[in-house]
Amino acid sequence: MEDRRPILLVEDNPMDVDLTQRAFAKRHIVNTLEVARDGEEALEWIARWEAGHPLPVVILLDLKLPRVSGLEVLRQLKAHADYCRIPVVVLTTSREDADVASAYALGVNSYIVKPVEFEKFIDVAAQIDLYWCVLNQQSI
Amino acid sequence: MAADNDRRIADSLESGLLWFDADLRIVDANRAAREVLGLGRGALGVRIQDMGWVQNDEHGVLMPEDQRPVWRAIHGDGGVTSGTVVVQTPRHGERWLRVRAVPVESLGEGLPRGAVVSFTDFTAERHAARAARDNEQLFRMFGDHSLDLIWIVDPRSSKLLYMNSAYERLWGRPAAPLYQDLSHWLDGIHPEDRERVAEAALHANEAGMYQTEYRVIRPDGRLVWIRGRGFPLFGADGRMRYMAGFAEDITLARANEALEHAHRIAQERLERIVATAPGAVHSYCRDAAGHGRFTFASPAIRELLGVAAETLVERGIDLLELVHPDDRGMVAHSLRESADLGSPWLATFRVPLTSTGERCLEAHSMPVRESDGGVVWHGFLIDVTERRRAEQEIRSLNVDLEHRVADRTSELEAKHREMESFTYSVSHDLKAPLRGIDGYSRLLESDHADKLDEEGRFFVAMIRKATAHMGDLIDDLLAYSRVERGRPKLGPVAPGPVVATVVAGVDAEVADGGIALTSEVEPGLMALGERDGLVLALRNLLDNAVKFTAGRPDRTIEIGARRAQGHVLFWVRDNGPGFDMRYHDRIFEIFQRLHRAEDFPGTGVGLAIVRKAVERMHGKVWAESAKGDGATFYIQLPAVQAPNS
Repeated sequence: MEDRRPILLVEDNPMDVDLTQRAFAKRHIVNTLEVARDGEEALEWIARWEAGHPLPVVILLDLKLPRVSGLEVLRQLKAHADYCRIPVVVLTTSREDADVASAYALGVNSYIVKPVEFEKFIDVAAQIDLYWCVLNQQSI
Repeated sequence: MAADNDRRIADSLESGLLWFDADLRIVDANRAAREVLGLGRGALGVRIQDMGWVQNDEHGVLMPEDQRPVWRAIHGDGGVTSGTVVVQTPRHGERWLRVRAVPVESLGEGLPRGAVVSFTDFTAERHAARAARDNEQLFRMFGDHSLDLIWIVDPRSSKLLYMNSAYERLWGRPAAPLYQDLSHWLDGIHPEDRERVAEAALHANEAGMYQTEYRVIRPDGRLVWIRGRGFPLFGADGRMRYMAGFAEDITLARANEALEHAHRIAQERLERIVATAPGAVHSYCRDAAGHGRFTFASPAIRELLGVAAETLVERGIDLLELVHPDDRGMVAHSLRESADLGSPWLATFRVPLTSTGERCLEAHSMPVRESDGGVVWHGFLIDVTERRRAEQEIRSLNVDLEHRVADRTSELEAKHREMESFTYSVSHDLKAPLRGIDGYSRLLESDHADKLDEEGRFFVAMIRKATAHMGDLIDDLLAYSRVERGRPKLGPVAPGPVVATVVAGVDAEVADGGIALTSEVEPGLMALGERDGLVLALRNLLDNAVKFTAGRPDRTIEIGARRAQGHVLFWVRDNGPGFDMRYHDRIFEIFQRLHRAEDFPGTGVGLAIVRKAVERMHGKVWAESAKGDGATFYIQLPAVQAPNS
């Protein structure tokens, strides 16, 4: 991946954070992985971006988060005049129709169900890499 | 001529004696003759026709000379003649004489032939008889003017002596046969009364009087009620001479009596009804000026209005005075409206009572307009206090019930939401650690395999296999719980497209596994169900069929739908190993498996999902199988009329 902008991972489960990092490593994705441990922390990033912190190339968003939910984070991001164009991929265990429908209604760019098997998890990382890092970047 | 001795004898006689010569000259007369006929001395030797007597017969007709007994004796054949002669004498007026004339060859020695006439004067008897006849006639006239029947009978001969014309009028029969045979008078009497009437006379009182009432049936069929009275009539000697009596038409009196009786019964009945009727009956009157008062009220009104019925009527108390002040306007208005429209007066109002507290009354009555411009309401008042209270109670109970139902519903909804959030949590929370187990065991396998021996690598593989199975279990459990989310949206479902969809879902397995899959759907069918539920159920059944035929030489699966007794019957048949029908019910329970995992993989949720989906559509699911001989699963749904397309 040529684009060295960071990837923002919003995930409360440290084990999932670690596995995501490892899956990215297996796929040779070397972008910095920035982590928000809950919804509130995710929204705090808006202030950092405003202060000049580089925008993420993609935001990976879990839905079930402590305090502010993933859907609420999605709503606020997609309602933001400047940051609504940052691609957001929901990465969650929920297959609930309601969750999928709500996420798309709020303007999510993709919805991926977290697989249990690690191989499939790596495949997911590959998808993210391909769709968002490759196809959307002019530099590729 | 009579000698002195003869003269004395002749004069002593009561009868008159006259001697006539052949020229009808009076030759002699005895004392009685002289007195009766008023003959003086000068009459002797006078011819009878010169006497100036008018002689009539007993009918008052002038008697010709040749009819007179004396003339006939003189000029006759010598026989004795007789007759009744009514003579008008100048002195003694009309004399009724019974005359006997005897012709004689000589009226005495040296005297010529003539006639000796004797007579009896019955003028007095004649007058008495006439008077009696006049009396009788008077009596008859009197009797015939009587409306009552009058009769007189001779008890010795049982002969009817007299009966007035009332008999013919009352009995409607001629009286003549009664004069022949008195027993005919029973003919007109009602058969049931005859014996009693005949016996009545025998039960006369000490004075010999009796009275009886009986019915007479007239020939025209009309029934007449008669009151008969009989009594004896005594002669001057104190002995009974006649039985007499009256018979009076009492039909009208009887009818009036019956009418009165009926009226009395009706009155009593009305009183009883009024007394036992719920509430109080009343006649409430409002005059043209709008003043109200009760003209009648049954005793029960005391409990409703707190005032005795008599007091209410006597003091002319207006209902409005007794009504609760807040209801007075409404009651007055409803009365006015009822009076104006002539419609029933229906009103519910309160009456404050000191004894039993406030009562709630309901009025039902009909207005009748009086000629003086007033209106009278005849009807009743009932106490509906208890009913009102009960209705109020029912209303509040209903409200309470509604609250409870609402509470229970929201409780259920809360439970449901809890359930949803539980499954949501399961999907997240159970899978996260599984992902950890799988991820790290995979990293262990890929990055640190060189540090593990054969057995170590086998353990890691087992951990990953168990993790995968647990992942499947969680997914199926979630699918199972998802089936019953929300209310089923039932509607007509066409079996054809559903079966086609399900069959298309296993295209790959059918092609890869060399399965002979046939589908057969009867045309024109329409089931009542939910499309998604039906697809889910059939897909599970078809997946099972694919799974259980795996490894068999001629894999055959049939799927179809047909009509069956008002239902649509779906079936999925396979030639897999089948199952023992003893376990039929268990296979539809969640996590129940009949096969070892190494033979046929699975979580034991599929058929439970099928059953739950079918039951949601009010359908039935069952299976038929024999061990080693395949299995057929059926889903039955209600059929609906297919549209004519």
